[in-house]
Amino acid sequence: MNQETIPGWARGIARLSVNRPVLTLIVLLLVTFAAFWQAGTLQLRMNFIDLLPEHHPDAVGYKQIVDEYGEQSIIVAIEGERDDMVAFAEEIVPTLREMEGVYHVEGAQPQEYFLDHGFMLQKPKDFYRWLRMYDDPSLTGVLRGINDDFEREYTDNDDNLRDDELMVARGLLGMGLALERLEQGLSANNADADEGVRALLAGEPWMLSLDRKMLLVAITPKEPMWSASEAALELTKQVQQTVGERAAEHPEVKVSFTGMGPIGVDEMNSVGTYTQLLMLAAWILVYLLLARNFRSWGLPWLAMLPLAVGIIWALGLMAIIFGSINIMTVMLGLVLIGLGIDFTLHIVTRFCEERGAGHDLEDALAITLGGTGRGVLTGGLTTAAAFFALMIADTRGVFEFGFSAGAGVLLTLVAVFLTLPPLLVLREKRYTRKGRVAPLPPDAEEGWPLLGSIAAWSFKRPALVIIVMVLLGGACFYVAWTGIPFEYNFLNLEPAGLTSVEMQQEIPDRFGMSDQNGWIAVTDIERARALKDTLEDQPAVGSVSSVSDYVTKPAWIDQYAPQLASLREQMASHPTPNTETDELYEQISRLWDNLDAMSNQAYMAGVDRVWPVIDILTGYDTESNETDTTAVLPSLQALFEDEAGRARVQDVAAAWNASLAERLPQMADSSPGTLDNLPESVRKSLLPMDGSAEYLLRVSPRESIWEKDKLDQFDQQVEDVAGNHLSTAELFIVMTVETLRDGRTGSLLALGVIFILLLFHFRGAFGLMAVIPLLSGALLMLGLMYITGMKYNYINLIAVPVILGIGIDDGVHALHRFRELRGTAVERIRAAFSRVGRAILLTSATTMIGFGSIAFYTMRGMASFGMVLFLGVGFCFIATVLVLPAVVRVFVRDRN
Amino acid sequence: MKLRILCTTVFALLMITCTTLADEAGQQWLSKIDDAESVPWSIGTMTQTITTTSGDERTFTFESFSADSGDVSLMAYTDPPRVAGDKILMLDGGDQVWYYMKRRDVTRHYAGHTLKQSAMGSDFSYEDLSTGDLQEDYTAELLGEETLEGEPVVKLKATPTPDGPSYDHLILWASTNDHLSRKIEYYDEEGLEKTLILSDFRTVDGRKTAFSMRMDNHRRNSYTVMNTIEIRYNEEPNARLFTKGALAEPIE
Repeated sequence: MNQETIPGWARGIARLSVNRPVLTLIVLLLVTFAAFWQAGTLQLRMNFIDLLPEHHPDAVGYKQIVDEYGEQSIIVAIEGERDDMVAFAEEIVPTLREMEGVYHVEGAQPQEYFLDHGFMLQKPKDFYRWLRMYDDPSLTGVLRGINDDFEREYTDNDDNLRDDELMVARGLLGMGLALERLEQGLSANNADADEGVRALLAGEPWMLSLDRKMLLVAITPKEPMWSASEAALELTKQVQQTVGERAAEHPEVKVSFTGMGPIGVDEMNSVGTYTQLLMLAAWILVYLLLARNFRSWGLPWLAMLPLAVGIIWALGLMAIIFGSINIMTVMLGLVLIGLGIDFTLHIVTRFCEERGAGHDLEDALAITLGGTGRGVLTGGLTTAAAFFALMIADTRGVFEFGFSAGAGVLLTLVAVFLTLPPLLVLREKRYTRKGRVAPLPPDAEEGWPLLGSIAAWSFKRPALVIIVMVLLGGACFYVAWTGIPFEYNFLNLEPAGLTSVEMQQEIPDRFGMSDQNGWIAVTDIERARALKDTLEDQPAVGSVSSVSDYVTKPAWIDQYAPQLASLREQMASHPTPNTETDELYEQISRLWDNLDAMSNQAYMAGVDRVWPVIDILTGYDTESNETDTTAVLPSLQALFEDEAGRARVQDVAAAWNASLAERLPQMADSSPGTLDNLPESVRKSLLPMDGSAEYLLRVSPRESIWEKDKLDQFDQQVEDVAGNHLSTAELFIVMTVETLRDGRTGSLLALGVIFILLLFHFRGAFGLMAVIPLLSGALLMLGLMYITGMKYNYINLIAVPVILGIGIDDGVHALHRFRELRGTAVERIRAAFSRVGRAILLTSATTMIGFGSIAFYTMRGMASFGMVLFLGVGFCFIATVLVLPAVVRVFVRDRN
Repeated sequence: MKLRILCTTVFALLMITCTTLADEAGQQWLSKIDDAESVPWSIGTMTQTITTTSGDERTFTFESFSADSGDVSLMAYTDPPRVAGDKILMLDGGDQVWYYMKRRDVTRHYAGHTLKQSAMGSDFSYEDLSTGDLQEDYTAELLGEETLEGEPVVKLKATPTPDGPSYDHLILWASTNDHLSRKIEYYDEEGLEKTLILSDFRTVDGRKTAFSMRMDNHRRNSYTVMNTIEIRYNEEPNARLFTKGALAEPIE
């Protein structure tokens, strides 16, 4: 490099570094300490809402709903036998309700309220069914009424079974409990008849799975989980700890957690710890690579120290601007290790070259900074520009990543340019003091001839190279455009094997509905009632919770009251029966027949929430085609055929009759259910916290809606009925779609900025040649993604503009060196790639180490981001060495 | 003015004549279809695959028997084990239906209103499955002739007689070559409810038979395919099979 062409800033830094190395470093150290202190205040926020566009109507609506009604974001799933699960739930629910930060715990349903107003809460069709079903308030009479009803409605009619599926399934869970209590009474005469009666009339109070092996308790925190505040996360941890400690004392039950709270905590645990481990691993690998390259244990430290300074500055700046890091910016440290080491490598390598060529310290530094340093600067600026291009994003996560990474690259550049020269000077002076010459890397002068030979080969065969690349690139473009699917399922991006994630799939399978709700808020309770009726007819809807379930429609009050008065009279006039054992046995036998017929109807019609519940009662197993004789109905039959069992029938039936004689008239009371007498649990679950006159419908999908096609189906059906609605799963789709748009826009913008910077830096179109290997590398990366079966997702999409920003560096350095050299074109190509090739190979390797370490995150979305970047950087290097020389041959005239 | 009245009268007379002729043609076609589709008796094995709204599939196998030109029929399930041994007996052209459940050894008589409901979870109703006398159950109007899947067909509108099935009307396409139905649309008061497509025609014992029937339920977004595995028309089933008393007995 000509001494006259060295810019003044390069000479200034060189002079300062040679004359005031210690002072320069002390000042930088002070700044770094301040940044380090600031970086310590950063909080990790893994909340997905943070990644959404702030003003997107769905995001705004979601926050509004959650702020008004709360969100059941912590789900405790208890597994075991029914009575063990209930005992455990009864123990933990009061404790959970007492916890600070808990707004509501939904455990048992308000059974007493239902027993007080049961008839008055029924729709007319069901009301008249009940009048017929419960006209005889005795055990035999009620069972006869139920059997008659089953035969009228269900045993020969799968259409009705399908229409009433959830009501039948939940009713059968209550019947199961009632039959169990009856069976326990007949076998030991010590069961709680009233509990059986309550279950028979009002259903199973707890939220049990259809196989009766899992029970859910849902917790609504005061602080919404979307805020991802310390309080919300801390509450999740406290709940997990408290329930976990209690569970340790109850080996008969198994407890696990799901919901957005526990998923968030699991994410934090997996990401937080891994980030530190992966950064350490990346540092060690980079150090070893550098040590091998420089044949020195000391020189790598000099290269890595400025990088550490730059990362600390970047984190400090993030703390000042954002105060937190999100799922994307958490990878920033690793990204900067991969990128920033390139800057130091190019500078150290060139410095060693210049020292090897006999230049004194100041000149060597000035030439290095003014020559390679300018290339580093251009490469760094293009990378930063590509990151800054992401700031066009509407999604906050991408915006923050764009800013943080762009600013991080700039700060690292500054740190390298200011810190590395004085460090190199001090190293030399240390050797000089000892009367020795600082050792240089063995290949410093001649570079790496193999890469030069490869580049020369490509230069001599431009047609072959370009045709092959066009064909390969075209194929890759085609498969990237048409063949790589999009991963919309958020759960598939989470760490594999997390219980909180797996439960999201298991709950819909076991309960016949998901715990992820869609929300609709209305201002008219009758509108809520009408919506609920229509929504429950939609195949994709599992159930709808509405406050209208608990409030009597005004028109029904006058309609029902006289009928209930006569029903109560009829009940009162009914003589207390002396139960005929055979008659009771006949009704139980008939019940078994009817249930079995319903079960077969449901099985054949695919009414899959009904037949498994019945099969548990009858003991029939579809797989083995055998009947478990210990199931409740076979056991009851056995008791009726047993002397001891028959002997207890009168006593047990008397207890049931007494309870029924009390409960049925109570349930037939004509006092309506009103908003004023709602139980607290309903109020907290379905009414706004501020007491305003709004009503929430919680619409539970029938199946897991993390799969996009299921979500689309659910959304469409709900939207057809109720118009706009919100759900957590839908917000993930919004986030994915928005990120896709941001990634596309960011890529185009990054390309535009790169074009401009290249034109500016090379003062003409010469530098645009570097874009061709960049695009080739990016296409090859997409091709390999297709071959390895990878999918696009909302995180790895952002890798595309990032690759554009990083991959351009290789070409910039090669072209820069090519232009500096003299001789024939082929000689310049060979020399440029021999010398700079070694550096770009090394920088690509270190960048790949940084990004490759991201691929080891257990969180699959983040890992895919690392993997895509790893492939991208690798292919950009290969394309630079193989394709760029051919392109140069086409566009550059040989001056000799 | 007089000219206008004359024209209107002539047009109305023409319309009435055309409609009457079309009705007569429709009835004639119905008779031809009845003749082509009615078999004195049959013995066969079929599969029934139900694809539910959620996309789940269930396949059942049953033996089928019919006699008295379809006036009586029996479906005896053989697979899966859950329903093996269960039987559906239809008498009087489907007016009487009994269901026998082997697991509980119980026979149920289905009420009249059940006949229009889905048969054992499928998209066929009991009245769809019964092969009664078309001319007795419907009056037909010829809507025209067209081509369906390369086959020349007549298009009829069949309206149930007062004692006929529960549909509002059917639109039926039958081949002009073999007079067998190719497609039937079932309409109720709300519009199109179901569509039946008959395909895979093969000749067995001199009779051309659809080996595949697919019924799409447009309301539920589900469908049922019934495939014939084997069928024969040359042997009359034992008359005892078509009695309530024989339901609990194994089929010889």
